[in-house]
Amino acid sequence: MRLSRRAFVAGTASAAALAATSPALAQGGQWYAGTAVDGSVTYRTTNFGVVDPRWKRQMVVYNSPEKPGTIVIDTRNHYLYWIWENNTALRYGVGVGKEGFKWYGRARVDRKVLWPRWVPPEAMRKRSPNLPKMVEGGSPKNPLGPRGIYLFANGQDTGYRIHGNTAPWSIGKDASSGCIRMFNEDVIDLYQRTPIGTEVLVLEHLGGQENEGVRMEVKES
Amino acid sequence: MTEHATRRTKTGLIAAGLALAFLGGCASVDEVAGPAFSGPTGTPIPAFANMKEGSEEDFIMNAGRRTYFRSGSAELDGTAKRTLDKQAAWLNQHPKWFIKLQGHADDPGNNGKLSTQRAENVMNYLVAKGVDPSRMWAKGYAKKRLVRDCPQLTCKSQNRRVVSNLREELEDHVIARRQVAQQ
Repeated sequence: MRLSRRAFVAGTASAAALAATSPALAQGGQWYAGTAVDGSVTYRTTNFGVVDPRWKRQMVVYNSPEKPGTIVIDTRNHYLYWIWENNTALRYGVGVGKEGFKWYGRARVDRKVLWPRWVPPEAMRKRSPNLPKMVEGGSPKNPLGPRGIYLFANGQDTGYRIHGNTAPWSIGKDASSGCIRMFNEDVIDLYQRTPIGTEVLVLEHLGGQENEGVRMEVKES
Repeated sequence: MTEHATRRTKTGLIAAGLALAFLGGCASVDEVAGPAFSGPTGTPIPAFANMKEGSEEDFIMNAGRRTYFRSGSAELDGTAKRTLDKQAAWLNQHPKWFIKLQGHADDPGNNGKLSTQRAENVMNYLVAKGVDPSRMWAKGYAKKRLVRDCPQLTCKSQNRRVVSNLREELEDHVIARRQVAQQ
């Protein structure tokens, strides 16, 4: 997030040079800045120098009656807001399912996992028969990335998660299967700010009715 | 007094005046000093959009100042430790800041004791990560500064926390206590 102009120029220049000289890196190579270590896993960091500024984490005005600490997801506009006081929110860019998000309403974070393993749902494996049955957490091929935030309603897993990615260029687009994907740095950030019990509101878009689609009550414990 | 009213920073002083004028001195736990911002949703907040490295906004955005706890516990879990690792790295890079560790609890049992224990555990962890103990002090607030007030986990999970608050100088009572301890 904190890029000096020099680092920005050097980063894009070297990434461009790499992409030009190495065919293997040409595919998405400029989207990575280097590596970082989280626990025992080394992962590729995002080159925010090539990211459209609107998808970067930023503090914005947010007008709504939602209480501080709530996560609000605007699926159509590809933003996730973490609500603060005084009409403010920390906003992150997200990618969402390409078939359109099918679930709207109130949920709660009931489960959080570091470097979650990925088990593709049956429907997804029918569409893409080459998918493995399971990918271990921490694998560079695991699309959930460094964190999984699991959304529950009525004590039941909705099947939807907020997670990281293996394709940073998909943030801001409709390009996953229903889940909410974030830059890996951002999902790491959101994970530490949102304890189990955090309220989540999934909207088709801001200003839309809360009860669009299926509205499910959250059973409180 | 609000948290911001007691913060001895330039923005804090401005916020103090505004907060007192608008809130009448009720307890606040704001991340962004009030009064409430206006404008269309999505308008950048200037203090953050133009923040400098080493500023309080930088700390709030890039390290994060809240550490959360499980019900009835003052133990630091894996997520808490990762948060504090980021805080320690930032604080070690920016030694000019003092840190007031404000513990909170909204749990069954003795919230005064639990909130103090949470703040002290955070302090001990930061010391172990190289932050000079003379820069920090810990205080428990029990249930005095709730983020949300309801009996459900959605509220309580927000309240079970320690806030690492940056300060430009030690508070007088901390200096006095340390002088007594030295005698």
